[in-house]
Amino acid sequence: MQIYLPIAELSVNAFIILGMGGAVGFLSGMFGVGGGFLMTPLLIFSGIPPAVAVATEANQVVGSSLSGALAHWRRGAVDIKMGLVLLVGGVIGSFAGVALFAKLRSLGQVDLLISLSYVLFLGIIGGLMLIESVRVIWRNRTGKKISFRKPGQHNWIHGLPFKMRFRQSKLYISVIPPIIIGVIVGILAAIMGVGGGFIMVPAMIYLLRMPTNVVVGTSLFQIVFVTGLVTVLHASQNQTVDAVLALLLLIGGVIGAQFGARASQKFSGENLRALLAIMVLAVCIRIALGLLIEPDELFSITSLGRH
Amino acid sequence: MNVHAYILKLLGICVMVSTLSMLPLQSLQAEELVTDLSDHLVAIESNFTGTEILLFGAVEADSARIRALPRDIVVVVRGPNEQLVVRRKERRAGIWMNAKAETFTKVPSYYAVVSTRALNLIADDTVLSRHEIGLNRLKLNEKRDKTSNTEANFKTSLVRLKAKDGLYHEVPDGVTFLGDTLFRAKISIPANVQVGYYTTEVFLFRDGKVIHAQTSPLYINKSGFERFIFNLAHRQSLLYGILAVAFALFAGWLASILLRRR
Repeated sequence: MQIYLPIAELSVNAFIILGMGGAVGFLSGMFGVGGGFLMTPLLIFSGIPPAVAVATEANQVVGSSLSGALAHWRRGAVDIKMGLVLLVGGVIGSFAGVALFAKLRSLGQVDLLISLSYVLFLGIIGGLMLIESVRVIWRNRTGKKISFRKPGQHNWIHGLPFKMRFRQSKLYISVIPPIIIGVIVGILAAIMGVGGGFIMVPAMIYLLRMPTNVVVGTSLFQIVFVTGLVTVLHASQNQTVDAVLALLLLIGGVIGAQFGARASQKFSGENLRALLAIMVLAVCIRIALGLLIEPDELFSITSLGRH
Repeated sequence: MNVHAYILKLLGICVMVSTLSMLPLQSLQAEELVTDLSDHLVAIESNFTGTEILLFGAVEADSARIRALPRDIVVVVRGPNEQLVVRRKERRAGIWMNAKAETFTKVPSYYAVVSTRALNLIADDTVLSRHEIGLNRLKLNEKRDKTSNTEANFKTSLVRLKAKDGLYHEVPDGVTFLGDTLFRAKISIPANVQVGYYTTEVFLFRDGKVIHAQTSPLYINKSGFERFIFNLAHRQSLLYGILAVAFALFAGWLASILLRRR
């Protein structure tokens, strides 16, 4: 069934889009990740203009992270105070990111910005994940025990001013690190169309030393608001949010995530993580090749409107 | 003296008016175009793959001798003008990125030439250029950038890319004569055209000269759900953004309710 995407301005097969949403939803359900960092490149590969892919994916993440956030909320696994502090940074980052996006769009360099951000972040995340999971698999085979970090350890973060008490996270720390984390995540949401959980969750665990049970819920809580703001900003400044595409992706994603969550119970976590790492690196290499190999068509045209 | 000058002036005007009116009259008596479009108002459903409009007409001649002479018809359809930037990728620090750019300020968003035979057989270049007939004779008001380079041919690339999108085309055998006087032309309009006022010019050529021409307007509109979304996103962009988020939130909430029940 062909459907015309009004903002991307092209006809696509609705079932292919639903299938893509389902496949990425399956992976995100399986691995417990947001999936935005896989969905946006997939949309770009299938011919959606990169600027539209990013803004639309932010719109989809609003919906998919809300259902996750609500589930954590019911279990009381959301540190609202920490979420709001992260959100302050997220708002600043979103405005900055969308402004940068609009500026580079007028210069014709936004596609490059998106591609470079993806190569950089997917490369780092995929590489680290692969190293980590290979190490764990290796240790499991040789029978050695993994040493976990000791909670309560102090680091340089505890020396910063403007301290605040976060009861649910059992922390008394400066608000500067969470705000900075929020800013970075807001910028990433604006220029990559991702929730940013893959940056925020490790940062909350290793830098802020938040207890792991509230990390995912708090991160999802912040993502709902940041991606919502990013969607509104992209819609009003760049007119690149395709609501029809976002809705199709959401439907596919919700269904896929259900199957993914069930499938994950049948596989070992470490093998799954290695698999995800390989996939992330494959996407990274594919985008990098697009930048390095001479394209077939060197010219492109962009309409600047009626004259 | 004043009266004399006035009379002379009046006479002069009379002579001018009569000579002016005589020119079209003469050609009118020889041959005249009568054309019409199948539709002056074309509404495209956005999810539709495009449409075809039919132009039909007749060459009215006062004698059978003139009617039998060889003639050519050229139909030019132009969409509303837009401003376009053409960018060219170059390798910078090992990466292929947009480097050079050129802006064209008067680019028809749609342009089609449909004729009875190849344009270079109908008339010579100067005549065709004067009427901007043919893809390579379009004047696009090039605005040269500091970074631009004449060697890299931005204008031909613009025309090539527009043709690739189906928005520019030349059909050298698109006008068919049905007998001596009646002719018809098919003009294909793809789904990705801009909305607005289009012009349809019909030229009658004889011996490499334009002997009659006629212009008629055409309005292209788009309708349907997709068009509604497009208009909302561009005219009420803030409201559209808020609605898009609201829809996503509703879908997410609905999903969490449905999945909890299971």
